[in-house]
Amino acid sequence: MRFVKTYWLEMLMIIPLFAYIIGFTLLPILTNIKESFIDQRFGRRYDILVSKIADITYDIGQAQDSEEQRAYDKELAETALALERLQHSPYAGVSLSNYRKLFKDRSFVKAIFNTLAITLMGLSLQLVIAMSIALLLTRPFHGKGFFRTIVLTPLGIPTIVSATIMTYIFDTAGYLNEVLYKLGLLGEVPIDWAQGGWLSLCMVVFADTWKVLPFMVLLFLAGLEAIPPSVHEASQIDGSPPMYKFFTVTLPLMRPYITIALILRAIDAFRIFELPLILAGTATTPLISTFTYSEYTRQNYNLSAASGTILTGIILIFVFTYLYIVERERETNA
Amino acid sequence: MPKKLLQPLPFYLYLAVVSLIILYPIFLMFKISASHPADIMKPHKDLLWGPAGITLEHWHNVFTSGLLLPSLFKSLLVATMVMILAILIAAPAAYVISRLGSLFKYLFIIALFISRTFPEVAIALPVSVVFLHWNLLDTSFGLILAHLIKVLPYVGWILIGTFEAIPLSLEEASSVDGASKIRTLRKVIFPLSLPGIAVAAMLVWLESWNEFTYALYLTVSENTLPLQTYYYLNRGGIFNSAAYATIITLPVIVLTFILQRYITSGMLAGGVK
Amino acid sequence: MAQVTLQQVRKVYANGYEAVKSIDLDIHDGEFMVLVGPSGCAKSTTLRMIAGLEDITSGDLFIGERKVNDLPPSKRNVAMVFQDYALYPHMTVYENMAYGLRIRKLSKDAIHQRVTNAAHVLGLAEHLAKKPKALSGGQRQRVAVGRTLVREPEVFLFDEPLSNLDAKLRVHMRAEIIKLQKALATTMVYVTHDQVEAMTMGDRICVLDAGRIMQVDTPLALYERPANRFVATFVGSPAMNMLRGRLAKEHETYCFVSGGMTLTLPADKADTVKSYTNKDIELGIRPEHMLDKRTDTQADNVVRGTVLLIEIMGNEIIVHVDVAGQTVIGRLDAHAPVAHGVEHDFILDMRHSYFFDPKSGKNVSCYRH
Repeated sequence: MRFVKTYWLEMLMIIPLFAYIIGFTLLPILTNIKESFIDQRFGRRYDILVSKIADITYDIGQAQDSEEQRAYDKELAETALALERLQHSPYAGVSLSNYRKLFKDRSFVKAIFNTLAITLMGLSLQLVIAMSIALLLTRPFHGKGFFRTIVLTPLGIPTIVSATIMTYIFDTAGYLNEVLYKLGLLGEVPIDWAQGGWLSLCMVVFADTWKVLPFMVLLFLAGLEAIPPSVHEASQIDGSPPMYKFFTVTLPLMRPYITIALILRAIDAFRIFELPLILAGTATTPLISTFTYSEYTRQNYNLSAASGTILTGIILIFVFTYLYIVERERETNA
Repeated sequence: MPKKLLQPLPFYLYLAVVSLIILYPIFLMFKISASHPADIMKPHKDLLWGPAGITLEHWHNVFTSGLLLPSLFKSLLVATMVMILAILIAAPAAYVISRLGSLFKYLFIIALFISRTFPEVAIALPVSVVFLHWNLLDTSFGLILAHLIKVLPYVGWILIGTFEAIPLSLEEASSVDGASKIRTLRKVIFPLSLPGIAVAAMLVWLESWNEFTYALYLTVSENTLPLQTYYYLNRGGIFNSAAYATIITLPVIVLTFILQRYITSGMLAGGVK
Repeated sequence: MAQVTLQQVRKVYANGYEAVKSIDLDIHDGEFMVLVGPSGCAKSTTLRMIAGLEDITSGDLFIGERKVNDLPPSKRNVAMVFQDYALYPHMTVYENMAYGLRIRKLSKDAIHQRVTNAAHVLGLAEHLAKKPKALSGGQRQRVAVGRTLVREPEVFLFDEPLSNLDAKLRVHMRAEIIKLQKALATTMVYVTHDQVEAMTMGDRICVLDAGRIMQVDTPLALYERPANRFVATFVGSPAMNMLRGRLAKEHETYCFVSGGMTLTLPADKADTVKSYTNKDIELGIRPEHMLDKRTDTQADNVVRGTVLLIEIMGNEIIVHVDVAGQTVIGRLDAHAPVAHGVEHDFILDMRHSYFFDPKSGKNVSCYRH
């Protein structure tokens, strides 16, 4: 207890933050996981009955005379009995029905595939482009500062805004089709980017890359600038050709940055939500997160919880991989 | 990268294409919000400017629609309150964490990191169910609570760095000089952390201003600006959404500009050799 | 003004590391006590325990008559100069110095008087309105000292305050601090790793190694009567030479024998080390007691050695000589006729020799054990 006496101020300072995180982040996630294991049919009926009981109890308090009260009491008893019977029905208790339903749902399976595709395509594209731009920015040239500011601009654009702009571009009557038409690559029939399939995936990947590029460029730039100039000079004296040097010297030295960038981006790519929702909608091109949302709007809460839990699980795998790698790097450097 | 790859023509061509792809969308947003319907609605659009020139009729519509002010107000209110509350909750905790021994500090930082990675759609579901019971759905207060979920770990992370930059010897000197813990916090730690807190505050404000997902889950009729933009997009309201998008972007540009020019103050340079 | 007493003070860290292994130290009222030793010897830790910045695991600490083990720093009435000065960067020099006084609720006039006095003494009068970042390193250091002066504490604590200054400034500030302490006659505990600083500044010096006290004594006593091998080689530059060998008795004289070299001991020295006859022993002899043979043609204890290295200091030279397989360092006149790689005759003045027990390191020629 001497600890509490000496450190009461510190404890007071740190508790609000962690109480909030436990109550508003950890608790909801655990609730979500719990809800995912409750059969949808049971869950819905249960919620209806419970809120009905709450309403009736309130009404009893407002009752004007004893006859009304008796009517309410009767209703209350009936509802309570229904609830009791529900608890003993085959739907009660832990159930995997939501998960079974999910994997039988073609939309969900498509969602998993789409999310994977977007993540892989997006990461490859972003890796190559961001690395090339970062490399360019390590060399001085006319207008470098200007170009650097341009590259960093999308960082300052809110996601909703970039999503809005992308709809103008990818609309059937949109600007991308117009550019393609003017370049002679397209006939009179414009491309419907939002129809689903690979086209929509490309659309989302492009929009996401546009938004995320500055962040990755900055990360790679930091990594490149961490390479001591003496390494470059040694390589110059050794006379190695540029491409060879890039793959045998620069890239290996960048490995930790690339790994960290990839995993962090994978975490964000898997949970991507705003952009695909606005650009592709939930009908044609479902992703795991938009699928979760659409089930929510249809009030299939338990199904949505299951989908959300699967997403959380995937993310946590990436998170722990990240932590494991960071820990390993720390130990090799210590 | 030696000279061979830096041949002027392909190099500058690449730069030009990249710059174009990055900047054109932004230009598009401003353009659409101020263009005549005739220019935009035709099958073959003009990539730069249409012949009909600039019009302010869309902006006029937006300002007189009566829908702008409520959502603007709500976005402003929520963002500002989230900023204040986030700093009040996270700053003291960040200070304590920055002074911990490496094991506990590491654990706390990992806890903050993991809480940032949970998907919002998974958290928003139970939160919206609970808020329904608490009558917090569609309210500003509810949204403030939800935004804090997203923002607190982020702010905590940043502020830990801010406090780590204040040397422990300053606190020790203050203690030897006779100051109590609270006095040291007030007179030494707080003034020195102010620049870092200001930066964190601006970042929080931006996060809340731009936030979409929790607003989507927790709002029925009182839209924030991003939601209102989405509302118009769903109805094909190109001009309205462009105007709203511009309104949302304006404070972002201003604050990003301020933050960029912020240089880490040489303030601490004098106190410690 | 107060004395500081440590009784069997130990410091063990949470991971089990024992930094301070039970030390007893009596610092007299008004004394300038220097804690000196190599890095890691726990001198700073000890100072911080006196300040209250580190907990005392066991043992007692007294400042004056009060036992202060459990008192926080703010209540111990000590003032400290930190190694990195720890000036409040957002306050002016005046406010930095006034900070501690404001806490103690002194009147504005009293504060003003004390601060301006201290500023005058330290030559900071024109800098009072400046912030630390506008000052030079030496000026910042003086502000740190000023901060302690105005507090009028019972004990001054200095934690390696001069180590970040350039050599010339360091010498100047050393003198200033000595003058200050003499004028104030307040107890001062001063930590340094530099033995020259320790020797020139302290009334008494406490030599520490790996958390233990090796010797506490006046500078001269440490130099002339080191208690053990550690103190003998730590104090004095270049360090005392240590030669390994055996003690032998030839007829009635005692000799130190090593690798073909034989050195006779004077009678008084022989008495003290008689018990080591035919046993291994270490000989310690300071560089200034290695002489050039030329000066005394019929002296005994002549050794011949090859000169390995000559360092020209200007007023003298330092020679590294290979004598019977061991390297001996000597200080000779600047014009001594020695040359690199050439053999030369030297004399080792055994009247100024020390003998150490090879296992315990204790000085057996000066102290009874």
